Amino acid sequence: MKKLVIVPAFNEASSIISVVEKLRQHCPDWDILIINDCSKDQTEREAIKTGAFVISLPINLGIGGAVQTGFKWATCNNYDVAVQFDGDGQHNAEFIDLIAQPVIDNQVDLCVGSRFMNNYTDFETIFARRCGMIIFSWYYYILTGEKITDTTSGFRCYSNKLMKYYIYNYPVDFPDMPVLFAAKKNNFKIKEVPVKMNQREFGVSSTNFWKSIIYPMRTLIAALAVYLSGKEDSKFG
Amino acid sequence: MEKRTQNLDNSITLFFSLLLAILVSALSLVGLRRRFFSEGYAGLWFFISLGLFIVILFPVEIKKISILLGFQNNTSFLFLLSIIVLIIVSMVQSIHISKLRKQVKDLAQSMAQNNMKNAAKWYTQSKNRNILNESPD
Repeated sequence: MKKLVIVPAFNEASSIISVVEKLRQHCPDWDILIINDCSKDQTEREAIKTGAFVISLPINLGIGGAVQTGFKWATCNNYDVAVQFDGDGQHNAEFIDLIAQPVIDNQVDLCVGSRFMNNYTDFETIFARRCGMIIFSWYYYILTGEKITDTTSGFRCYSNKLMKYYIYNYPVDFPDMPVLFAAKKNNFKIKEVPVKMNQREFGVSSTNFWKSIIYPMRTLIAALAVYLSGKEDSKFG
Repeated sequence: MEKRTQNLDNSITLFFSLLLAILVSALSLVGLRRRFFSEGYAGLWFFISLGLFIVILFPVEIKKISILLGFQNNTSFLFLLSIIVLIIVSMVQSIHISKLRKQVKDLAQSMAQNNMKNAAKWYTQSKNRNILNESPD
């Protein structure tokens, strides 16, 4: 079975080597693909040093576009499963096998690592952000009837079938909740497993005050648009 | 006195409307000539300026149409008409921009993958020819 870890990286020169080292330590049988999203720092050079596969985008596409590039490469190279893994050190490599197992066993097409399930509730986040996450979860529950505790988690495992769908239909502008809606709407099975995540070790978050107000609203609208858009292929994905 | 003021108001409105119509048509023609407008958009704006000329030159007919459609005031009819036209133009442009963004994204992704393939090919060929491990001197 071919397994791939997709690491989208934007200005992560200080963390990318340690992230890849941890991945190699915990998941030696996984291939690693770093998508350098037109970083302004030395991310590309550092990524090449690690010996992982590196794709450097000529323009900044955002995390959605970077992850979709990973899907395109993974499906071209016949990978059976792929895990999306942040380049800033927030995700724990030791949980990769845990979130990949349901996909490998063909139980589900998308497995989401949740910070808020079971024992792993010690992830610290600001109050407003936590409120936003709760609203997202409720929104998802009201529209789909299924409960996802961590709709904004970027630690996800995808099946080959789902990746083939996402290479044409990935909501690249809003890759959080709308991605789940797109999968759910097209009858892909989704599951959550509890994972532990670290606080950001390197770099700074791209979120500021205005973004933290506007982004959730735009995400809710985008998710509704995806949910109402039907099962046809999106022209803009 | 009141009639005189109204006539002056009408003349000013007519002057600025005519100026706007001439400006839009001239810009669309110059844009097409100097290639900062594509044919499609130049055509669209030229068509809009033509509409402006019709509204300015045939006010009686516009008034008749607005009464026929049930408008009490022909200004309201013209406002609604212009809002509809602007919304259509804006929607068409949004669709166009979305398509262009998708094309740019697809191109960037495909270019990045091709660059990676070429780099891998170059690396393999260089290694086969023992270029990579040779010392600079």
